[in-house]
Amino acid sequence: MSLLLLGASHHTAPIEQREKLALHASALPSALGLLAAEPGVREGLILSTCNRVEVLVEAAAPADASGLLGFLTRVTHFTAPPPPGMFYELADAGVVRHLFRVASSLDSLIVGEPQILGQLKHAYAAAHAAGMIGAELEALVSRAFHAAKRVRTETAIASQPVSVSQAAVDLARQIFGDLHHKTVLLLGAGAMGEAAARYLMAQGASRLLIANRHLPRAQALAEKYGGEAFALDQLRAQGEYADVVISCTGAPQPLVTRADAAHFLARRRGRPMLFLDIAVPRDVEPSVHQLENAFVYNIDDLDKVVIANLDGRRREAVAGESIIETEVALFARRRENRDLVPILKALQEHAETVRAAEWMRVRKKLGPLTPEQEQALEALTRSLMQKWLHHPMVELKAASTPAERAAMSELLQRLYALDL
Amino acid sequence: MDSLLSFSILWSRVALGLYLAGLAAAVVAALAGEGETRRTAFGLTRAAVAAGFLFQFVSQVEMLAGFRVGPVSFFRVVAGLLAFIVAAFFLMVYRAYSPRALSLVISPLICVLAAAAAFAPDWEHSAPTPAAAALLDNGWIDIHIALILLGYAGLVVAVASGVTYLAAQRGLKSKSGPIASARMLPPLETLDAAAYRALLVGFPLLTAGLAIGAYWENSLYGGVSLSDPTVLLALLAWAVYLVLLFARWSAGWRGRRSAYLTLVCFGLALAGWLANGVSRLHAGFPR
Repeated sequence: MSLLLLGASHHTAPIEQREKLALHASALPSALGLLAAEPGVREGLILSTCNRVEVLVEAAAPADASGLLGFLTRVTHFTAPPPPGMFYELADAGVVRHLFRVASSLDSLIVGEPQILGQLKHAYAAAHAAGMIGAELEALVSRAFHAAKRVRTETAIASQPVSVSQAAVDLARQIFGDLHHKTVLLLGAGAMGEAAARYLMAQGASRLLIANRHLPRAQALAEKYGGEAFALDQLRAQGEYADVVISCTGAPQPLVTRADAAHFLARRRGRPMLFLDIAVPRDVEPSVHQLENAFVYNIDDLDKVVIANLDGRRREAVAGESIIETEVALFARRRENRDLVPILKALQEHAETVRAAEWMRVRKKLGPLTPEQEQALEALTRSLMQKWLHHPMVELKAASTPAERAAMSELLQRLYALDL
Repeated sequence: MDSLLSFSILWSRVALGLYLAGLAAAVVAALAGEGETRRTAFGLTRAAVAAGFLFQFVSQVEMLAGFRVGPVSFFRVVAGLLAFIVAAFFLMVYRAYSPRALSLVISPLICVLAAAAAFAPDWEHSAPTPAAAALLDNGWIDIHIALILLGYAGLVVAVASGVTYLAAQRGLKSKSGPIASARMLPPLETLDAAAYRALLVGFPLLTAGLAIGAYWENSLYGGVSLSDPTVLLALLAWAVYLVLLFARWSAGWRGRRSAYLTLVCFGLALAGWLANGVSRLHAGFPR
């Protein structure tokens, strides 16, 4: 068995090259069909995301990476020759380690991001549907999923938000808990604010208010997301309904003054308000943060949260790498043990043949026996055989190097004339 | 009955040992970084507090059974009950929110209360005065004690929620790693709501308990003496309790202000309880 992986990722290829390599999900079945036709390829999987394109194959003999490169040029818009260092080529143990790291998001642009595991699952499903998953890749990919699960549950690699939108939701949850029945007010129609508002709504917020200097733009957004629009000059009347205010206007002066916020809070009878001010210059007066039950986070505050969390993830990644090494070693040991199956099976069959023949020979000499006596004696022969085989089999499995295992296998074959 | 009390004290000390183990695990967890060690240590805290809670329960049942006739102090009974209630609160809140940092706030409180229950000196038991004996016989004193303790329990839960609220709010206001510190605590609105509900439940119970106490003080001593420290502090605590609820209802006082006022109320109630030692009010009763 031989594993080979050819790929390019954000580590090695710029976006312009990755765009050419990317394979849409709808193109995967036909690409997998072509991959199956590659010489020597028995199993295969194609992982294509915005940050990486990788082709993984299992071949009868060591496969040729240039063949896989040729395959990629045929199924994508990529044209050879590639710039130096754009593709990485991994074999056997290197493939195992790489796939485990990718599944665990240790190789991702944002370490700990959860999407890659889902993308790998989709790639696996597509390969499975195309008949390209056999025993080897089945074992490899399922262990990759297991390794990823361990890394996510045994480290805090994914516990902290690493985007402004995620940080916004995290802050809102720390204040309000469940976001159901909460109202989000979007001031302005900037892309970043829209993204944060969309994320909050996706997390369960029930009502979206949109205020913009140009009402038609607010109305268009409101229609898009099922919200309610109003002009900015109505802010003083409408602001009190918002639990979370996301502001991203281009206004030169603050839109929410301390007096406005105090007015909102009084009308809300002290229920807290979270202001996420991602505008520059700022839309919310910084002194609003000093008010009881008002929390103001500007873009720098949110960035600091994200940067601190990224640092935290990188620290957790060290623990993740250690888990990966353990899993790689475990996988290698399982594969090695699986290579021993033929010799172990042959040894057991040989012993059973000898036992059965000897039992038949002796049985004739024993004369009449009760069924219980006959069963007991046959059980004795089986037990003796198992005990006799036990130690050599354990020693064979425990052999530390492939060379040692090969030598022991050869010796057993010679000693017992085993036919493999 | 003496053996019952001896066992009660033994179980309360076992409970204390478990609570201390839980506290130690909480400290280890706080010092460890994010990861498996931290999770395991917090899991140990919860398991230790849960085990301590069971021993405390057994201890309290035996102690209450022996309270009337044995040389057990009222202080010991109340401290044990409060430790039991706070441990129950901790386990309930932990199950709902996994508020790991709460371990560091509540575990020491449980340990202090459990230590008081386990090691409080017991007075020499003397026969109740005739008036006290009459009260003990008719059962009203049981209702008085039960209502007061349930009222205190509401206050303790409100204080625990309030202190946690202050810690979480401080993290969010300071912005110095709010995600790291406040995310381990329950959300502010949840804490605030929990405190408010506890106060709403506790207030009528405390009011009824004090009313019964005032009625029997009047029967025993011919009036309610405001110069008695227990009476005065209990009434002050009740008044602050009332102001707290009224301010919340009428002026929307919540969050930090509400938490501070709850602490004042709790301080007064605690002082009133401790003043029992110098009060004539419970003279003649087992203490």
